[in-house]
Amino acid sequence: MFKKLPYHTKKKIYGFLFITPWLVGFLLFFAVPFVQSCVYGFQDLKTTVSGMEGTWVGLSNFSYALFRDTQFIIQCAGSLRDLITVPLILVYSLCFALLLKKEYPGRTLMRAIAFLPVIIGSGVLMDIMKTDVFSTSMNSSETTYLFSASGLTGFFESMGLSAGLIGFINNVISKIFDLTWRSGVQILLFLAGLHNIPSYVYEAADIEGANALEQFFKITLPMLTPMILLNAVYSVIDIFSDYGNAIIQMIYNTAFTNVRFGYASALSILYFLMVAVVLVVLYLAMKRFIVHAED
Amino acid sequence: MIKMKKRKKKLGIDNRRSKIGNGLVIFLLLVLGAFMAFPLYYTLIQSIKPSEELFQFPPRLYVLRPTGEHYTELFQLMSNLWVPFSRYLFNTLFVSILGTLLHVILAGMAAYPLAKHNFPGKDALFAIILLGLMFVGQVTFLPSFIIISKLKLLNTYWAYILPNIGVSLGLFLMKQFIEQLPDSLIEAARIDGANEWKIYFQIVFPNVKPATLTVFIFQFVNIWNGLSKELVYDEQLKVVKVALEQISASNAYARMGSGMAGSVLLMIPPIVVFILLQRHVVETMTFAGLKEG
Repeated sequence: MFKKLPYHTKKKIYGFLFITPWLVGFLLFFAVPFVQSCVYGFQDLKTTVSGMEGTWVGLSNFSYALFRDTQFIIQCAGSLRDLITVPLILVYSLCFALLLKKEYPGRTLMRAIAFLPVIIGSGVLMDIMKTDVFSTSMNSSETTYLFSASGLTGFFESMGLSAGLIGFINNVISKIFDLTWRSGVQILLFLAGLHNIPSYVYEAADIEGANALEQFFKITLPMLTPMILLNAVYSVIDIFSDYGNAIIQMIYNTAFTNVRFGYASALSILYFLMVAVVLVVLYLAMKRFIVHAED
Repeated sequence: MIKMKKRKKKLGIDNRRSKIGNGLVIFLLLVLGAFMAFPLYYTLIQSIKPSEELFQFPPRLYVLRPTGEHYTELFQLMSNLWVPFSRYLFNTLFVSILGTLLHVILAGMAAYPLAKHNFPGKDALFAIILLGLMFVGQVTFLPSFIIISKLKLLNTYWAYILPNIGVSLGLFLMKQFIEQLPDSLIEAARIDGANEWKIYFQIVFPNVKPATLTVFIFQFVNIWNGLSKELVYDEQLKVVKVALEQISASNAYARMGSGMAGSVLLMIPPIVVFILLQRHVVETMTFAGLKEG
C-alpha cells in the first residue's frame, strides 16, 4: 500500500492504524463520559423537562465531600483496610495456579471450577445469593450468613466446642470463602503466565540438577513477576470497584436514589484519585522486583 | 557415569515424593474446589427444590424431594411470551460473540504497537488507557448513555456491542503478553520482508494465542453477564438475561424457583466457553527454541 515510503514512516502509519479502531471506542465510551462526569463534579445538576441542567458551583461538591460529609472519609478508610487481602489473594491464586498446572485426571473440571467465581460473581445469580445466603456483602469482613447463624455453628455446638473456637473456625472458613471468590481471574492469569515460561528453561535447570524448590524460587517466581504485578493491580482495582463495596454503594445511591448527580461525580473523582494513588504506590514499590526475561 | 547414577537416584526420590505430593494436591484441590463450587451447587439445589422447601428459613443445603417443576414452569413461561425464547437467545449470543470478537481483535491490534513500537506519547497514551481500568463504571454510565442516544444507537444491537469494544482490561492484558514475545522473532520477520500487518497476524497473533483466548473468556463473561436493560427497550432485541429478570421480577416470590432455574441455565454458556477454550489458554508458547545471541 505505502511501498514507496521509508520503513520507519510505514511502521508509524501501521501502528497508528492498529491503535485507531480500539481508541475510537475507548474515547467515545470511556474518555468522553469520563471528562463529562468530571465536569459534572463541579456542577449542581438538576433534571428538568428539557434534560439535565447544571449550574456551576466550583469546588463546593469536593469540599463538602472532604470536610462535611462524615460518611465519605470513613468509607474510604474502610475500603483501604480491605487491601490487606491483596497479598493473600496473590499467594492463594499463585498456589492454586501451580496446582492446576500439574497433570492429573479431571484437570479440566478443576479448572472450570476454579473459574466459577468469575462467572457467578458478575452475574444475576450474585443478587440472589446476596439476599439469600450472604446477609452481609461479600466484601465485608463479617462472616457470611450461612457460616454464622444457622449453618455450621449449630453443627459445632452439637459437637461441644467452645464459642470462641467456633467463632474462630467460622471466621477462617468465611475468609477462605472470600478468598476463593476473589481469585478466579488471578488464577487464570497466573496459569497463562506459568505456561508462558518456556520449557527449555526448566529442562536446563533439570540438567544442572536444580531441585523443584530451587526451580520455583529461581525460575518460576522471577519469570512470573510481571504477572504478579498485573495481578496485584487487578486485585486492587477489583476490590475497589466491587459492587458490594460500601463506597460504590454510596456513590450509586447518591447518583440514582438521591439524584444528586453532581455530588456523586465529585465523590467518584475523589475516590478514583485515591485508587490511583494506591496503584502508583504499589507500582513503584513492586517495580524493582520485576524481572524482564532476556530472551 | 557417577553423575548418571546420582541423577537416576534423584529421579527415584522425586517419583516417590510425587505420589504423596499428588495425593496432597488432589486433597487440597478438592477442599478448595468445594468452596468454589458451592454457589453453583446451592443454586442447583435451590432450583430443584419444591416450593415449600424453597422458602424454608434458614435454607437447607440438601433437597428432600427433588423436582423439575421450576424448569418446566420456566419453559412454559418462556413459550408463552409473545417474543419466542429463541429470539432472546439469538440476540444474546449474537451480541456476546460479536462484541467479544471485535474487542479481542481490536484490543490485540492496539496492544501490538503499544508493546513493540516506539512513538512519541506512547507512555502517556498507555497511562490514559490505564485510567479506564481504575475508574468506577457506575458514574460514567449516565454520560455514556447520553452519547449512545445521541449517536442514535439506542435500541439497537450496537448499544450493547460498541461500549464493550474500547474496554481497557483486554488491551492491558494483551500488551502485557505481547511485551514478553522476543523482539528477535519480530525482527526476523521484518528482515524477511513482512510488513507490520503480516507481522501482527502471522507472527504476533498466533504466538499470544493463550492471551487472546484468556481475554476472549473474560470479555465473553463480562458481556454475557453485564448486558444492561436500559439500553434496549424493544422486546424483539432484548437479551435472555433481561427477559429472565422480567419474568422473575413480575412476581418475585411465586417465581423464585423459576428464577433460580433461569440462573442455572444462564451460567451454562460461559462455562461451556471456558471449558472449550481453557486447553488453549494454557498452551505453552512455541518459541522455545529462539534465543538471542
